[in-house]
Amino acid sequence: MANNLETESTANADEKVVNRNALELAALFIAAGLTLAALITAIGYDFSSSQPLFVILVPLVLLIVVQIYRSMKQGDTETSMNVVKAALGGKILDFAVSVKFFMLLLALLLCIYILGIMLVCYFRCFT
Amino acid sequence: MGILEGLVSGFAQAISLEVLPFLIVGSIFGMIIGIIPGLSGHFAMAMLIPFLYKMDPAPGIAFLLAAHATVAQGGGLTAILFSTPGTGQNAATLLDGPPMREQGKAGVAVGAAMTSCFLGATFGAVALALLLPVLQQVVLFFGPPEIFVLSFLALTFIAVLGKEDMTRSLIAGLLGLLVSMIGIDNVTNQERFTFGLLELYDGLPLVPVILGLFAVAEMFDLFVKGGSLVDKQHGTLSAGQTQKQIFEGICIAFKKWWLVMRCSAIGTTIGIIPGLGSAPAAFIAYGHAKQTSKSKETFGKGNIEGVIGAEAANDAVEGGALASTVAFGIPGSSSMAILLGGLFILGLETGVDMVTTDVDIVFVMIFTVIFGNFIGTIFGMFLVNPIARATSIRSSIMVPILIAVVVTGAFAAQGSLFDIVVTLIFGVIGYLMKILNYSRAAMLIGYVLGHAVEKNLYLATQLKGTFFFLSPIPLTLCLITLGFIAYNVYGMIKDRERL
Repeated sequence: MANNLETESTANADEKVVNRNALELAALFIAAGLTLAALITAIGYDFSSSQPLFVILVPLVLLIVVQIYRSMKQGDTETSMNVVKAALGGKILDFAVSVKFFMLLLALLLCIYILGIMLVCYFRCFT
Repeated sequence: MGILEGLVSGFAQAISLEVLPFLIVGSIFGMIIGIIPGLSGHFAMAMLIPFLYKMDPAPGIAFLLAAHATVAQGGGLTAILFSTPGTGQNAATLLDGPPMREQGKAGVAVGAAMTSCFLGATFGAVALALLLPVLQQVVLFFGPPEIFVLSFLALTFIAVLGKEDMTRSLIAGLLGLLVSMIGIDNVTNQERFTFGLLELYDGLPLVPVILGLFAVAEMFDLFVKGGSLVDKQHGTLSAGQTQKQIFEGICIAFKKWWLVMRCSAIGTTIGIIPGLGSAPAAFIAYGHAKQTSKSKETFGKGNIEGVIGAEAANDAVEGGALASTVAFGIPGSSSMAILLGGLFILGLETGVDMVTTDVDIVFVMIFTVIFGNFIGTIFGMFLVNPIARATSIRSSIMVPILIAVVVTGAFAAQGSLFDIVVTLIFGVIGYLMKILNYSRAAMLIGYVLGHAVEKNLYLATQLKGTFFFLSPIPLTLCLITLGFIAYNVYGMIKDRERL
């Protein structure tokens, strides 16, 4: 019984590491895309304005590439892709709860927006 | 303004009726936040930032800093009573606090911890006051090239010495710098990454970024974890027993004044180094207390010296951390970055102006740290049992209340719905960073330093040309930065080879 519990907790811990690695890879690819886009955009700016951007973006791109390499070495790409698919399908509990919370926050934002519009309309019509 | 004049003015402001109420409210708020596991000093400060817009400098600083000053006291209290440190910096208190509770000496440990916190904070604040004449001279050597290179050195220290992975922290710091570049460039009027949005012309607003990274991200975490904040409720002491034991603990802390002084000195010194923070200071002080104790074998089994050492160092850190923040505008931790943001909102400039002209403001900070901790100590001692009940609140109740406060704070700053959107976006980014072990402190420090980095890079190139970093001080700082990174990369490669 104790052995079963131990095996189960080790399996859970391993699963968490794999999930985290997949999440990090996904986040890093998004960050890399955005950073490259920023770098290309910065080329079009006036030199005085783009100078600090280059000081920041060049090492940033390099570091993101290094981190992607490190993450890919930790786990295989196929497993990561499967984890991302499972997460998007709502099969990973923590991720699903986080998404649920984000949706609640979006709903709150929508409520504030709608109530704001209603209040503006009310004051325009009745005052 | 002279130092003596600043001291008198700072003291008069700190005890004035315009400042003292904010100091008291801030202290109590910080204490309560410290008690709640999962919420820490930067959360307390982030929640208070929106209030600063309508405040004068002295009350604003007192409000913000008092909340931060007492967080460690609250965290120490729950570490002893519930074996759950309210904040990470109280982890060292777990080694001897809970064993003392098991022996029926919880009140003694609480009294000693509270008093050590107060004495440690006072030591750190006095050290800052004594450092002021030195800082006034040193800061004159730091022009735009020096500040530019120093910013990168600080970010490197935070990335390398922080608890997170070095590469991840460097990425976070640079992302923070990048985010700070959004908006219209003041020199050339060039729009950068604004996507044509009018709201982004002035850059990303500071308050929503802070609230998102630290407050909303914590709410995500609490929501995902669910349940009660502290699972196991250990029996609390009766009021009479508690008071008696607390006074015993206070007496012991005063009797061990030499240990308090030594551990506070460790804390203050570590506080000056950006990136290390309170938790390592507490552990180093704990180790020192154990090493120098006559009864080493009882450490970890409920030795009061372990509690005193850790808690004194914990709070003494603030004095050191404040020194680099006010003198060079380089924050050493996320809390100091939020404080720096608060100072911008209050219209104050750090650096030469702060340590030469606004000396009274520095002394308001010093007295706030001392008085804030004193109020926290008194409050904590008499209300141990009732305030400790805050830990039994379920996160399902806590999260909606705090989210309402956070959203109101984000909106109130400029009355803009866009700020709430920014808060939510940075909440998601902050939560991702938290679970993926990316340093949010580095990102915030990068973001807060961004403006200074850009301004000083521009001035440095205008004043000294492209190779401005070849002047003696910038070159030395560059070499330290590169040497520091190289040494750590070498260490990492060595470790990997050994495995």
